[in-house]
Amino acid sequence: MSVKKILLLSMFLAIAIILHFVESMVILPMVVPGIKLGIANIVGVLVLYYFGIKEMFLINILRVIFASIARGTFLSLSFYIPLFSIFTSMILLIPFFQTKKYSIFGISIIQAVFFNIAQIISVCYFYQSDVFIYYLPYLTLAAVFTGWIVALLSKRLIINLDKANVVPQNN
Amino acid sequence: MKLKLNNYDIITIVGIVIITLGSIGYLISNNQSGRGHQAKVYYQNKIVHVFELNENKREKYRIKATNGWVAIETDGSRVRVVSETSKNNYCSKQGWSDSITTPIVCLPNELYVKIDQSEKNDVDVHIK
Repeated sequence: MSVKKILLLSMFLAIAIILHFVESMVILPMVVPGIKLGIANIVGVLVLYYFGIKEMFLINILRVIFASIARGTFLSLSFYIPLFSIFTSMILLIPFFQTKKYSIFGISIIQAVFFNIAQIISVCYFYQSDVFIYYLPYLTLAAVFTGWIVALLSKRLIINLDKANVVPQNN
Repeated sequence: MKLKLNNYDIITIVGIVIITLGSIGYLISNNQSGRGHQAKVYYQNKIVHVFELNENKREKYRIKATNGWVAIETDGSRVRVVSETSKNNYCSKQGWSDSITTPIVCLPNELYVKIDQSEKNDVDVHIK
């Protein structure tokens, strides 16, 4: 891994952690728990676009770990649930990404949907109850919307980053 | 990875939306009101209180949960969390629930309220 790549990934990680914090401060007027805009996922999509799936794995897992350490929730349920959800969603995303048929919109929405499904499964497991499954359709529908927003913002950023030549292609 | 929306994306999105809306429609069509049911309060995966929802009386229950006191009340057929301590206050914002398919979940307090068929009302027909 070149120094330039390490530097760029470190910057993306730092931005992802900041966005993770910003998101936790924003309270959406939702009645269904678990719905988030997922703005930190913008960085994940950018890393996937510029570097690849392995790097996206690395950034997303490190983001959850560092953010939970900073928030004092490391090794608690608030750490394990997003860790399991992000890990599972990325594993399930691999075959869709490797087909190379989906655009940034499809990939972002598929990941958001898988994240919410994994989140519900992990909450059901940790709380030993199936009561949370009733939220799944509402969370899935919300994931389509939030995944779309994340893809739209990511696309805008990619166009601007490409114009400014901030992140060179073929890293 | 392409930046422009394509047919694969559209098919996937439409598929997800159809399945999701179908599931929501199924949940709504199976939405049974609370009368004759029980609202079970779970704290740390254990039942700590049961409200009978077949009586026309208001009942209140308070429990010291993970983040502090949680107050729950019923008005005969519905149940709600009146007050609780959490960051987003989702469960108290949710308001009244009277359906099996709409539990009240308060994860920061490790507490949830689930509406179930009443065990007392399992008999469908009385034969004399």
